[in-house]
Amino acid sequence: MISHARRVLASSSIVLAAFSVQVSAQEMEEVKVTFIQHCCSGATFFLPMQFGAEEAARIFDVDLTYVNADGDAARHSNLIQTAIAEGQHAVIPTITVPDALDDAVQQAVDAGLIVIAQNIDDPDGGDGNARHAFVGQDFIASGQIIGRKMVETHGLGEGDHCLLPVEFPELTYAIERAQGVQIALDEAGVTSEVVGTGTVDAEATTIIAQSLIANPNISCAIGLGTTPTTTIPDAAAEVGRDGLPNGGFDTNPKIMENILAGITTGTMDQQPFWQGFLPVMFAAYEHRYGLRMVDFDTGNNLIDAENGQKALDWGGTYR
Amino acid sequence: MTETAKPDIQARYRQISLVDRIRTHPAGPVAVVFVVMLVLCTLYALANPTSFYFLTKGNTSLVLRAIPNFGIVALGVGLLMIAGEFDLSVGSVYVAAPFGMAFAYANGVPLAWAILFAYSIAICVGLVNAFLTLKFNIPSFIVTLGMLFIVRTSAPYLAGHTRSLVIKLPPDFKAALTKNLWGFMPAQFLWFIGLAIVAYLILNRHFLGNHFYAAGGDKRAARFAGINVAWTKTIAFVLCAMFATTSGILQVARSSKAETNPQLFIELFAVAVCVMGGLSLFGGRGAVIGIVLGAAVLQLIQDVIILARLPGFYLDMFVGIAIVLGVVMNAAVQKRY
Repeated sequence: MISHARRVLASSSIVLAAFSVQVSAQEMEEVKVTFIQHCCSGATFFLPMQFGAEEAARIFDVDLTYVNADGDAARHSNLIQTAIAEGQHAVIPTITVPDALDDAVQQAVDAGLIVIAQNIDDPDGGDGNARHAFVGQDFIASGQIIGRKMVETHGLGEGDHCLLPVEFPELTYAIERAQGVQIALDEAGVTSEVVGTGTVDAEATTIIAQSLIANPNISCAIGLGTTPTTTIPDAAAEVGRDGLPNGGFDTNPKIMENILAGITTGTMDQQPFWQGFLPVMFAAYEHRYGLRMVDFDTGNNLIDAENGQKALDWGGTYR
Repeated sequence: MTETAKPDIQARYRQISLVDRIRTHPAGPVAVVFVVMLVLCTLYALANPTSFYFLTKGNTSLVLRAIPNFGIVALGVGLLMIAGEFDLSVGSVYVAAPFGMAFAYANGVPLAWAILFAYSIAICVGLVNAFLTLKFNIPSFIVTLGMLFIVRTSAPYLAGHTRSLVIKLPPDFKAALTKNLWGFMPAQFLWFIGLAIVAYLILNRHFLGNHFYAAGGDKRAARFAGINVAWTKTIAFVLCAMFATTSGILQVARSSKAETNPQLFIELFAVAVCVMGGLSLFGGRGAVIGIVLGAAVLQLIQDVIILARLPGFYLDMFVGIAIVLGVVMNAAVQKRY
C-alpha cells in the first residue's frame, strides 16, 4: 500500500518540477532513458503513456528510447540489459511477471542505473524487486473504490452476486483488482465470480452474455479491464438484461459514452499519461539533482457521469 | 480415356460405405464431434432445464451470433491454407480495415465509399503479403507476422491518435447485418452461411478451386499443369484479407464501435478452427463444411463450459485442451487414411 506521506512527497515533486522547467537548457545535463512498454503495440491504452513519456522527455531534455517488449518477459529482460550495455542513465520497465525480471533489474541497479517500474509492479512491491520506485495503479486500492461505488450506488447486499470479467484472469493486474473489488463486496456480503474474456470484443461480449444466461442470479458486473468494461452493456442487452448494474476499469470513448448516458456507473482511470510522464521526470531529476524518487499511485481516479466529459475530450493524448 | 474412367470412379465411390466416406472426408471427424456434442448437450439440457440453459432461445441466438466472428475469418484463412499459405495479419486487418470504414464514415464519407475504403485496405494488405511472400520466396508465416505488427501499429497513428470511434450506422444497414430474425436467428449467421456458400462455390464449382488445391498440394506439379501458382496464391491472399474485413465490419455493426486496439489471437483461433475442421497445415486438403463445423464446435465448447458453470477463470485452458484434442484426432484420422 502506498503511504499518504509518499503521495504528498510525490505531489510536491511534481510542483517542484513544474517550477524547474524554467531552468535553462544549458544547465541541464542530458539524461538517457530507456522506457519499455511491456506489450501490445498499437493498443490504444498505451497511447497516452507514450505521449506522456515523450512530453516529459521534451520538457526535461531527456534522450528517450521508447521500446516494446511485445509481452515477452525474456525480451523485456534483454531490453533492460541492452540499456545497461548502452550506458543509459535510467531504465523504466514493467514488472509484468513476478520474479522474471528480478535478475535483470538487479543488474541494472548494480550497474548504477535508475530503475523505475511503471504500470505493473511486483506483487511484493519494493521487497520483491530491486526497482527504486513504482509509478502505476494500486490495483487493490482502486478495486476497493469501484467496488464500494457499485455497492453504494445500487444498494447491493446479501444475496447479490457480481460477475467479474477480465481479459487475462491469471495476470497480476486481474488478480489484484479482483482482490480489491472483493474486499469491498465482502463488506456488503456480495459474492462474485471471475470469467476470462480475452481481448477480442466480439468474444468478450459473447462470453459475458453466456455467463449471464448460465447464472440468472448475477445482479451486477464489474469489468476488471478495458475490454470487459466496454462490452458488458452490449452483452447484457443481447440477453435482455438491460439495466444490469455495471462498472469497471480504464477508459475509452465507448465506456465514457456509456457513463455519460448513465448506462455504466463508473470506471477507475489508471491515468496512463502519468505512468509515462512521471517516471521520465523522476529519472531526470534523480540523475541531475539527486532528488529521491517515490512510489506514485496514478490510479485512484474514479470517473462517473459528473466528471466524464474531459476524459472523453482528451482521449488518446492526455487521457 | 477420361470418358470411360469417369463412370467407373463414380461407381466405385458409390460402393464405399457411409462410415468410410465420413472417415475419409476432411471434415468427417469434426462432423462427428459436432453431432455428438449437439446430441449430448440437448439430452443434458432436457434433463436439467432449470440449471443448463442450452436450449433457450437466448442461448441459441447468442451461439449463432458468435460463430460467424471467427468463422468468417476462418473461411478466408482456410482458402489460403488450402492454397498452401498462412496469413497471421488477418487479426490486424479485422481491426484496421473496419476502423478505416468507421473513420471515413465519421468524417463525412458516404457509407458505400467508406465500405469500399475498408476493402481497399484489405486488398492492399493482401497484395503486399502476396508480393513479399512470392517474390522473395519467404515463408508467409513470417511475412504476415510482420504485417500483423505493421498494420496493428500504424492504424492508430494514421488516424491521428484516435483510440476508438463510437459510430451510428444507418439503421437499415445495421439491421441488415445484425437483426435477429424470427427471434433467434441473427443476420450475422445468415451472412456466414452465405459466405460459406460463396467459398464452397469457389473451391468446388470454379476452376480457381482446383488451382487452390493444386498450388497448395504440389506447387511443382501445379506449374507443370500450367497453373499460374503465384497468381492463384495472390488471389487467395486477397480473399483472405477481404473475409477478415467482412467479419470486422459485422462486429462494428454489432457493437457500434470501431477500435484500433489489437484483437489478440483472432488469427490463431482462425487457424485452429481450420485445423479442427480438417484442413491440412501443409495445404492442398480441406473442405468449407469443415471450417463451418470447426467454428461451430469451437463456439459450442465455449458455450458448454460457461453454461456448465465450470470455473471461468480457466476458460482459455478448457478451450485450449479442446483445440488440441480436436487437432490430435484429425491428425490421427489423416494418418490412417
